[in-house]
Amino acid sequence: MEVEMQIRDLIPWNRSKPEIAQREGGDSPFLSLQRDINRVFDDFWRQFDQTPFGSNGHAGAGFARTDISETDNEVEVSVELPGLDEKDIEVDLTDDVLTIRGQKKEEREEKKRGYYMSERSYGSFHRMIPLPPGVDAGKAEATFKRGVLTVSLPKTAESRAKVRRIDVKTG
Amino acid sequence: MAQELSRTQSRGLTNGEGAQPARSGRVYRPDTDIYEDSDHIVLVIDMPGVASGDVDVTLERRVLTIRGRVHASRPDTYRSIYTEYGEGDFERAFTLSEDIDEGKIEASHKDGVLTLRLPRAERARTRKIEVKAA
Repeated sequence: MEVEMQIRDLIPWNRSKPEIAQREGGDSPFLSLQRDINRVFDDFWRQFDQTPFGSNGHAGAGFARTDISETDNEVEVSVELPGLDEKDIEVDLTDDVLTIRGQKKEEREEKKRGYYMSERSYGSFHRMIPLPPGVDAGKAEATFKRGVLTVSLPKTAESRAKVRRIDVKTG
Repeated sequence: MAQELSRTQSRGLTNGEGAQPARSGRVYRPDTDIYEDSDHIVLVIDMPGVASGDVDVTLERRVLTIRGRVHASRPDTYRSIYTEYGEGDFERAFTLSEDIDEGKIEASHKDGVLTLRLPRAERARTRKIEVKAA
């Protein structure tokens, strides 16, 4: 519970969930232009590394959509990376930040006669996910399967010991 | 070419209507690229989390329907603390404006991406017509 609070605190745009989850767009040339522009700005911001949750600033517009869940024993971070190869993904972990970066090498075949629809994301991404205290960085494991990267971060024995369920009594 | 037939809702919004409900009741419209080359229409569809065996592609009277089923990757003991995608199935349908040689459709699936190569039927292929001077 305590851990949950802390992660929420670190994620500033959690409140605008519907926007984050948006998977619209791409059908019209204007939208795809907009997306290109967004990407330029993403690249721009990347230099400063200011966005707390990685440079996928227009959350949901690009790939690397992330879900985080936990049990009493571990925190699990899942990242959607369809079309990437595990060799193209880099996962770094310090005590309090999980950094995932990579590049989709798949080339857009511009020489083809024409794109009628272009919604999928290309290029590089970079996400920094703040971790709550009490995660044992040394025991983290990452797997990549079916286009989804899963990073399991076991909680330290110390932080596990802190979890205490409190019985609710009738008054 | 290929036109969107029905719109499954985008990620993270409401539950599917009419679409086959997933375990969680969520059905998403997968991000798709469509392009053509001289004799194929190619669809590239992102379906992260879907196993090859859980992809279902049907073509019926020019309506191409793609479904992908996601099985829960983690037991219920996991509490969600932050969600951008939320697991769910994928579904999308397109109406094709051209005849497709159904018997020769090629499908491949790798790293959560489905690629469909739809060969145009012989008579639908572009033909060059010579203009003769009168």
